[in-house]
Amino acid sequence: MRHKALASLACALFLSTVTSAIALRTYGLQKVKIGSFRVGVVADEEPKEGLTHLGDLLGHLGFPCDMVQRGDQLLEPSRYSLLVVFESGLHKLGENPSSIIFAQAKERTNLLWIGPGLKQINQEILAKAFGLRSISEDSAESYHVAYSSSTPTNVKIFHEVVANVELAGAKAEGYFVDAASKRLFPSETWFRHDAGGIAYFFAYDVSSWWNVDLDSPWSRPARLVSAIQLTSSDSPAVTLRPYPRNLASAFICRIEDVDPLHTSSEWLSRAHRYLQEHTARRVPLSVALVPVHVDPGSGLEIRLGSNSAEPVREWLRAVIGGRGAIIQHGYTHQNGAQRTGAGAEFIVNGTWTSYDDQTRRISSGKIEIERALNTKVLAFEAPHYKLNEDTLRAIEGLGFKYLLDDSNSPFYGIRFYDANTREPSLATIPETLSYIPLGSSVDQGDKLKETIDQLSAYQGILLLYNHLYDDAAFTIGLRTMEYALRKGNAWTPNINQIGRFAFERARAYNGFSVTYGSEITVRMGSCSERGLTLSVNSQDRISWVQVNGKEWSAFSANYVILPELPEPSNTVLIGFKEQSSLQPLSALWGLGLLGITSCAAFRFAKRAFGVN
Amino acid sequence: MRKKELPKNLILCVTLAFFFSYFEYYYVVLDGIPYREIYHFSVLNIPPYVLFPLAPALAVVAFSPLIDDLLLHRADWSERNRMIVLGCANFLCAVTLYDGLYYAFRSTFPLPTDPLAGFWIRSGEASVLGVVNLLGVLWPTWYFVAIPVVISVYVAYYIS
Repeated sequence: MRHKALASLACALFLSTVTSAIALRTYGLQKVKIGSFRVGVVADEEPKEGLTHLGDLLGHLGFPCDMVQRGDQLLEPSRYSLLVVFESGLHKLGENPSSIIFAQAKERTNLLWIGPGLKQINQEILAKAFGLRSISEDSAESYHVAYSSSTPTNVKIFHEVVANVELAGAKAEGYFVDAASKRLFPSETWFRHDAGGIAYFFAYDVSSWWNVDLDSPWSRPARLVSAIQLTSSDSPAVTLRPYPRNLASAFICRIEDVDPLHTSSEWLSRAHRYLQEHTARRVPLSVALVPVHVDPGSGLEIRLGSNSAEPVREWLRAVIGGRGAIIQHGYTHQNGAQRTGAGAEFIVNGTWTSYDDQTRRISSGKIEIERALNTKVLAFEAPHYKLNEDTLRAIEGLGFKYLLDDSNSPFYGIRFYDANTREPSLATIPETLSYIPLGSSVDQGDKLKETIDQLSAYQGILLLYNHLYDDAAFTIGLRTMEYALRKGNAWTPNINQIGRFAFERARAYNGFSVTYGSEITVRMGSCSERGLTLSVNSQDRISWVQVNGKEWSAFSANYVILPELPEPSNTVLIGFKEQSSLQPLSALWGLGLLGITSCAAFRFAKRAFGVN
Repeated sequence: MRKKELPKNLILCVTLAFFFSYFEYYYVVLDGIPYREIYHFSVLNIPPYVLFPLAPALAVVAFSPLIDDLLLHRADWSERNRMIVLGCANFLCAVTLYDGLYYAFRSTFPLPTDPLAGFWIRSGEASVLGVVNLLGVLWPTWYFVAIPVVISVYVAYYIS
């Protein structure tokens, strides 16, 4: 009888442990939402390079954002944590944009003003919201402006309009200087307005003229990123990191302009050694391949599938075997009487070739590569980056997913099938580190390292392309790759891998929203890639995470690495205080369970083994 | 089962558990992050590859003396019952060890790329039964059932 009672008690305790654990996990705390983290862009939607750059930057750095529409959108309280304002978009704020901006400032919305246009704002409100007084606006030449000097970089000023402002409480982050480095007036300012928010001001259009200054091509995006980060630093910001698994940068090496005539023993030997060095460091190569070499002058035409191209095919197969990828680089990389490599393919004497002609050439090249190498080609690069809307239509129609382009931006660019559904159709991977010219010196390598430093600071893509012209190009390319890897935590994908990730990330980014209260709620679209990372800017450490209602453990103090997101809309809950449902059971429970299980199990075991 | 067979079988189970655990943490990875940390498990928060084939493989080894005797028609029913109980204990021992070693590797010899490097088990990683906080360290609740069962069976077997 006593034994039965003991066994019953053991069972009851065990069952109560199980049910209480399950019950505690099922019913968590009720959540209260009190704010949202979102960037609103006030700009005219007419396509402009600056706006495209800003959109790509916000998308790449994973800020939830949208264009502010004319109407009452801005009247919703706490809709935006940061408002980026261009002069071109002021008309969207109604008859009196000054009062709307002031109302936002009073609601503690952070403000970022880009470029001239302050004259349209009431001076009193300008002083209260931005801590500035507007003096005048004119071309940079008229003020003898040469640079905007700020720490750590100088930004070259081109033929553009700049604003002359006076500080009225704001702090200068940078000053315009003339060619003799004489300080003129503030070029960047920031101000904490009465409600506590931050207002940042650029006196020049920092979103334009990217990749124009040859000495420091990416200083403008660096300044813009820095300003956005400063203005977002107060609110609990959650961003979608650009690379998987919390990796800090992405380095891609592209071998350029390889064609079936690349069969010289010197080039092939260099290419094989280059591949070996990269494979040894687990860095794949991506090869921009021209499938047919032609020289109309001598009547020469060599196709990738021809016998004479076997040595280069062998190298290409080794590249693919080393986790590399092939990019189709046009069909013949020439037009008319030019020889391969000499000219753009889709534009002749300033006239674009027809859609049908472009489709035919690209399709023939794709078939040639896929037959010769028995691989699927998903990435395309237009010869000399010359492409138009017809080229884009043609490559989308032929099943290409990734485009290599010189978009003057260090960020992913995503093209969508439909602006409403936001279903991505093409991911653009920009060239950012330029190429290694013939006969380069060591200086070229140093310049590349400086550019890597600049891009790495804000997670820009590191894409180097190398023709492997000579041994100097070999050495510089290798050292550049090693330098990028030494910075640590670098992702080294091939072009298909980064393209696929950009594509899937764009799906998840579609519908990305962040609301915060006692915990942070993130909503995202679907993503078939694992490892998307949410970076969380909060003073508290992340304590628990739930993905679509289930506990998730891959997180650290300030980031979460996500699993696949299968649903069209996925919810990630991020908590900072130990949730009651997740609290571990006390030691008493554990020891009680241990004792009772020991008693019951020992009794059972003794009986099983016939011990009296 | 003869008494000298138990240590042999136990060593085999322990070795296999160590191997599976080592293999899972250091080799079943995606760009340096163990799959266990990246996958979202739908059944009781247990990785599907544990349910099959890992657990069946451990079970085959744990019950191998029983399987051996059944094939050779060596033992009577009472002996078979004892072997079933011992097989269960071996299996539980192997599974517990396999699970614990995974977190031991992570906390003591972590992969440099693992975001949870240096961490012992975290509450979100436990199966549906949760964890117990004992002396400031979290332990899966099911260890508190499995370990006494295993020890009780071994002790009873030796004193029998």
